[in-house]
Amino acid sequence: MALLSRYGDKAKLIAGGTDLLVDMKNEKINPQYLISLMKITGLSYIAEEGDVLRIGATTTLRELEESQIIEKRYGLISKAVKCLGTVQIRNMATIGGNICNAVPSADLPPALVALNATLKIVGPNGERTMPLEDFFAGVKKTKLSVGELLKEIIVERPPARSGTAFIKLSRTAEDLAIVNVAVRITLNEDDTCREARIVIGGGVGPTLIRSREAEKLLLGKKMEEELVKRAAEVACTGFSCRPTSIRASPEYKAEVGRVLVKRALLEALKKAGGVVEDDERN
Amino acid sequence: MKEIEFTINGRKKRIAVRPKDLLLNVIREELGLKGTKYGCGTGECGACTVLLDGRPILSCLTLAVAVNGKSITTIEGIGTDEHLHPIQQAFIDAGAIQCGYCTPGMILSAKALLDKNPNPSEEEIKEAIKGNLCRCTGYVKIIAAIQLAAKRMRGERV
Amino acid sequence: MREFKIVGKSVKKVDAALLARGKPLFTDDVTFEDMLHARILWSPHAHARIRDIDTSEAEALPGVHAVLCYKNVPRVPHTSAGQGWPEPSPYDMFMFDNKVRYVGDRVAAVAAESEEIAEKALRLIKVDYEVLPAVFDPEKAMEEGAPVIHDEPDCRQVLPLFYDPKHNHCAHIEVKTGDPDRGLNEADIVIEHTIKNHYAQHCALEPHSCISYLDPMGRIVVRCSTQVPYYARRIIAQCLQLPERMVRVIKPRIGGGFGSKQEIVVEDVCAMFTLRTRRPVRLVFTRPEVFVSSRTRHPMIMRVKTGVKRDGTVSAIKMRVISNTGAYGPHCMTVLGSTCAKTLPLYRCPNIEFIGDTVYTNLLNAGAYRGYGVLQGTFAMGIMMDEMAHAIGMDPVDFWKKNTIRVGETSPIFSALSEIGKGAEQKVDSCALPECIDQGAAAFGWKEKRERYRNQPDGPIRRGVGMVCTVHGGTVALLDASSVTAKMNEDGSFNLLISASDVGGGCDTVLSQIFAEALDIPLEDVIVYPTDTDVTPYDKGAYASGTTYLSGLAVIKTAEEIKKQILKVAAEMLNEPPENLRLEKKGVVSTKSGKRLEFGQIAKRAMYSKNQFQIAATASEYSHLHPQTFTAQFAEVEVDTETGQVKVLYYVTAVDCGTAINPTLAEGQVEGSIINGISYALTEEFIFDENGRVLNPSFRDYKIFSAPDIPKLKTILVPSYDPTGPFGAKPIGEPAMDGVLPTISNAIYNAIGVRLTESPFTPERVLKAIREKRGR
Repeated sequence: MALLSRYGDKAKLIAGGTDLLVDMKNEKINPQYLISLMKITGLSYIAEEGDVLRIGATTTLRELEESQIIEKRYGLISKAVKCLGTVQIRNMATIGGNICNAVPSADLPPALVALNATLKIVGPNGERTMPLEDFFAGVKKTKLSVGELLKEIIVERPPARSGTAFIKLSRTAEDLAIVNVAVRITLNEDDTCREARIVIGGGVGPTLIRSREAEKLLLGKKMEEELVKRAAEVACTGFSCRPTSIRASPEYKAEVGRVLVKRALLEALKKAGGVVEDDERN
Repeated sequence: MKEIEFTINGRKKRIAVRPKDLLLNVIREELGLKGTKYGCGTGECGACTVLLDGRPILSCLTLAVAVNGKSITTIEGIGTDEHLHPIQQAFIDAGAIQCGYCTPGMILSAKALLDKNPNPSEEEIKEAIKGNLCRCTGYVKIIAAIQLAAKRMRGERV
Repeated sequence: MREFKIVGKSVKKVDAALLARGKPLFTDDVTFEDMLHARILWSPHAHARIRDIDTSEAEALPGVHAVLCYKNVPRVPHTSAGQGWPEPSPYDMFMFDNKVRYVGDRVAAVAAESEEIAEKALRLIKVDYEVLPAVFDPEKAMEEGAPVIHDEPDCRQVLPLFYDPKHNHCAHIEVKTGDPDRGLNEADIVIEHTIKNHYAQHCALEPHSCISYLDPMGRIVVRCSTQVPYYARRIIAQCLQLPERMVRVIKPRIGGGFGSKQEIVVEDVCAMFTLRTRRPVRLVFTRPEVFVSSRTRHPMIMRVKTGVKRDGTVSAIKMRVISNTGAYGPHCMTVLGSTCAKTLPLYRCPNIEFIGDTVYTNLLNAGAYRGYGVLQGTFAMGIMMDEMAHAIGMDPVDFWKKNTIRVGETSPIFSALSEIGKGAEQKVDSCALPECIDQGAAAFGWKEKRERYRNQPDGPIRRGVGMVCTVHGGTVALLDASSVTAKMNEDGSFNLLISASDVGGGCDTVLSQIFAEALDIPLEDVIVYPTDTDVTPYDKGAYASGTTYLSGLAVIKTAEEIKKQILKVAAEMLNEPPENLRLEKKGVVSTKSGKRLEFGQIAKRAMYSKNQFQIAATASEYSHLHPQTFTAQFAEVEVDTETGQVKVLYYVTAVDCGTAINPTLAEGQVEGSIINGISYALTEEFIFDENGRVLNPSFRDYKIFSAPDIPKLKTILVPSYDPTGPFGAKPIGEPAMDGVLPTISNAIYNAIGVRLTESPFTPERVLKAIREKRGR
């Protein structure tokens, strides 16, 4: 912490280094100092306490992937992690790095936001928490102040009658997403929608997008296929993708986003035990 | 310069490195182990794969200082000239080696897999070597080689 | 068909164990004392004149030993294309020029004590550019008034070939057989399409690498990742203005080539630094440099018009091709020529018209890439054949069979055009294409799947099947040559000295097998020594799929010379006429007396006892024709009509490559080709910005297939025997890759009724095509 305060923006924090060193090699950034987080013991853990899961910031993605707790009760994280990078990358990259690097097309943050994750941030003025959803400020920008670092990710256990889905469309198995979608649906006793969380990533904007309007549309209603389609439509309007994106045009991202949101909602609904329309096609 | 100590292929090494030196360059230039290859420098091709405490990592994206106190295995640490590792033998037998440039990294990824999972499915094999690009073989014979090695290592007759 | 002892067996690759151990076998695995490191400064502009360049600060940087730019290197017009001599590619390149012609063109270079210093020095070079208008569209580049990319007075074509650089026009080919217009008139249905393929990079895992140094006699030794060591020597000597004797090229193990290392892209600069500094110099490309500044595949615009009769006869083929060679023209004419000469002989249609132009643009420099024009031509024709079959309601299997060339037949194209000028009169000496189609279709389940998918239920996920046949003529007929030297050792073993350049495909193994077979010796008695131009005799190198075929023939010829010498010595020893003697299991036996001599005895006698001489021979062969390799390919795809994503589920390739000298290695060539082909068809793509800069020069952004992406693959080597080939063998390196684009396009068409005529078939492009079809 002291180092971080002393060197300010001349320094960069390094954990796994899988993004940072690439940026340094491409001369996108040129920090004078690198401060390693990997030597700080006690920042790497996966612990379930009651209804929350606590993940230390330097926990590697591979550790998340191999965790039985996560696989069993936070499957959305497993799913997002498994389609992210390669074994080598996952052995090196950390959850904290994946979040703090704020790449718009990252796979893990949408899944975490769908699970209502919050962050514990420490800095010169002590600790603060913040919903992950509010953490991103733009492409490769976060709301961390100078001297602050991410310490822990807290994920709430999905309530009863919840279903989740993560869908990623990419060019190859190992690629950043063209679009990715993470959703969590919670149903009432009568199968109406109690809560929906719809998150779209993959560079559809400078940060991931939480589609509150689409969520609202579903609230309290039975999730018929027509309604789900409409929600997907609403969720995918007003994207502000970079026009020079290498992976696809903004128009395509919006169009395919609708498809993925629809499919993700139907999949989550099925898992939540809701009545699912005849849906052989997916 | 900073002094670091680590184990490489079972032997302790103490060397001085600069903070920004990459593990790949230290392995190739300082230690003279040329089996670890440069293919892209940005962690996308897997030719520089080494095992760090048994897990495959990318030496082109690892700072040398970060391996202080740890154990590295390169392709030179797998098998000997007289007794090849079963995975090496299987790669030869199955015709999985064409130009051979991806081979060291590929074998190390396969080793990390089989050490943990002696009976992997085809999907698990593909996932394990997803980070190792090969342009010559189309992966078909590489996957077959890993299956062959797994069988032999389990003691099954093939 | 003959029975063989070693040929036809999947023996292990002779270098496999060393590669599996990670031995230091590649160019960059060897370091030299006092070695300097070179880096190149690349153009940020697509088209600019260099008004001035100031290298003084870079030169003054401690640790910098030399800076090269147009001001201080000889201006030698040449081509980087590794081809025979004189090259059919225009001499439009200079080691450094005062003009840059694409983003990523050479500007200057530095050799320094370390790469870090060299890179620092690059940043100190001040270049004053006069930015010129650039042209990226090949059709616009041909228009009057377009920016002239090669306005230098000294660029030229060495051979008497078409060359009009003032109009960015660097090759033109016209071929006409029969009466294409009448053919179209006689057709019941005429179909027309414009088909376009896209830029791509070879993505060999080893980057282009070179280390050069002076030998004690002051000659330049160049160890480099080349497919064409002899051409490399000739071109390096040319660029450095030295006689060839002053240059020695050594080819160590090479980490893949696929055509990209059939070009001299690092060697000339590296050797020049050694000449200037007298020090060993290393120049190894980074991956972005490989993507942008080595070579790529020629994108072509192919307008094709074909006529078909109701009975299933193709009555006319008209093809109008514009090929984009980018900023320079290595292989510009021959790739275009191959699109006609090596593609169209497949079709029995007598009425063919081919008009092709190659054009300069300010984009990436195209060159040789596995497929070499045939891939492009097959893309176009593979689609046209499918469309014609569909139009007359014929199963593509039957349609292909009816219209493709058969054994003993000839094509007017053979003699009309080779890669360069008129071709060789030839017929098809072997052709198992009908068997390939039958066996491929059976293994694939063609009929069942077509039936099943015709009746698939509605839904967004659709499946379909497609097929294509291909031909690929190997070698450059009448021009390519290979030589082989062998000498006998005391123990009856042999050194086999070859310049056929193994870049991973396994020719060191295959040629050893052929030699062992020819002399009836075990494989371990062949010590193969690959290329060193001081030691091994001339060979064209690794390209045009020609190594097994042509170098194989040279190996057999050499073995026959050796055999004569062995029999002569044995005859003296046994006091019997050579006619009585034959080779058997590393020995000579007399059919009369039954006496036997071991090779070791014969070698020792020749070396030490009487009429002493070294049993050794060098023999050469040149290519008399284009041996024709055939494939039939079948793909099953799944199309997500809501996202446009195409997945290949199953791919079957049946290949007639004559005798497969080493079936495992032959399969490896096919499997590698098919996966490269599918990856190219679905995901690989260069993205340019409006200024012609590549936006994705990395594996992160230019995606090639990794293991989870591959479909189920089946490769069938259909037995055949080519009487002109070594033990019946034909080429295998490229033919399989040629057919992938159209096979997948045809399968997509079968699945969703939408025709993709422009590659790659990315989700976005497929979805757009679906929308257009539905008129939305």
